[in-house]
Amino acid sequence: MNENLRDVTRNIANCTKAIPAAISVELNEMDILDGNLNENINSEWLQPLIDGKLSPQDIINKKTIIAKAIIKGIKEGVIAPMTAEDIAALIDEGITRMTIAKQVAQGSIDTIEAMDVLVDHAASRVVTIADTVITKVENAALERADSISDTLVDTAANGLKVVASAFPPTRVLVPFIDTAAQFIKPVARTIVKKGITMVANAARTIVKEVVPFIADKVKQVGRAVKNFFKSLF
Amino acid sequence: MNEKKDLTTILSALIEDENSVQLTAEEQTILDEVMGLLDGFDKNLEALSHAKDKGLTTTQWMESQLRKSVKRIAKNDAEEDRLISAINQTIGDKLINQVTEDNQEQTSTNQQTEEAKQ
Repeated sequence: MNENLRDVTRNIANCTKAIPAAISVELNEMDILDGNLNENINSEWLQPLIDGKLSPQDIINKKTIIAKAIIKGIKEGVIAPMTAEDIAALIDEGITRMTIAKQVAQGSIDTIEAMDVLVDHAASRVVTIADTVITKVENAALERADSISDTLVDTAANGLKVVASAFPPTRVLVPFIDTAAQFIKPVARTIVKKGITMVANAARTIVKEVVPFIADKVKQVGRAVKNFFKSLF
Repeated sequence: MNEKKDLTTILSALIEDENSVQLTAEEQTILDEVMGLLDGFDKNLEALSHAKDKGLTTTQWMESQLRKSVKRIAKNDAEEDRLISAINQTIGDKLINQVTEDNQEQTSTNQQTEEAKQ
């Protein structure tokens, strides 16, 4: 295997771990799931999805409704504009995070397994989005019959920036989870909150593991980032 | 937070009646794209699970999949490496942005806490 490639993929794995860890820490800091609850909300609706008790088609149906709501929310200006990749990653990460939080709180899985699940989901998103970009570039080149164009790799390299969408920003993820949590039973909501805290505490350890890697990167963004890590440990 | 309340309202209406919200052709295209990506996430997650059963790590699987994708358009090893590096650079930049953003959120939260104490 090419050594350069090995380094590159190792970095990808480190980033994949660090980002959900940072998000977990942030979730722990916020008063998530503590908002005022509307009694008219159907708190049974999302429950089976979090419990993993749905058929594949029912899962698709529920995710379709969530995606539709987000797309409408963007159109009506109540949600900041997002790409299809952003929306898909937000739904995947948000639902996964709630599901594993519940499992951790109930003792079905431990926090290390929970972080593995988060990393695996992030990895699958990176691979899917990268492949989608490559396919689009490939198809466009084939349509133009210039698949040997020198600019093909340039176009792809530029297009691959969309892979960043695989990691939903905290400022979007937290309100999403907060909203989604209203559609599960109050008891489950409490359990999810407890699980989020447990995963967040485990995430602190993982962030600590990748700090040497991050340390090189943070030089590029100044003292503020270093202070962030100092505030954690 | 208004955003939360409004998304809740839209979602509640859709749960009540899925046809209560009609999508334009453009929005339908986005929805199809979102659902295609979600399907891709699930399929790749399943593939990753099978790979782990066979002894591969997540990193090894991710590397093999990314190489498979970029090989379709890369003419040689240098181009292949360049595309993989582009992915890595993007994720690295994202990491920095994420950490910076979280730091700003943290600072804001701390300030609010301090103000509340005073």
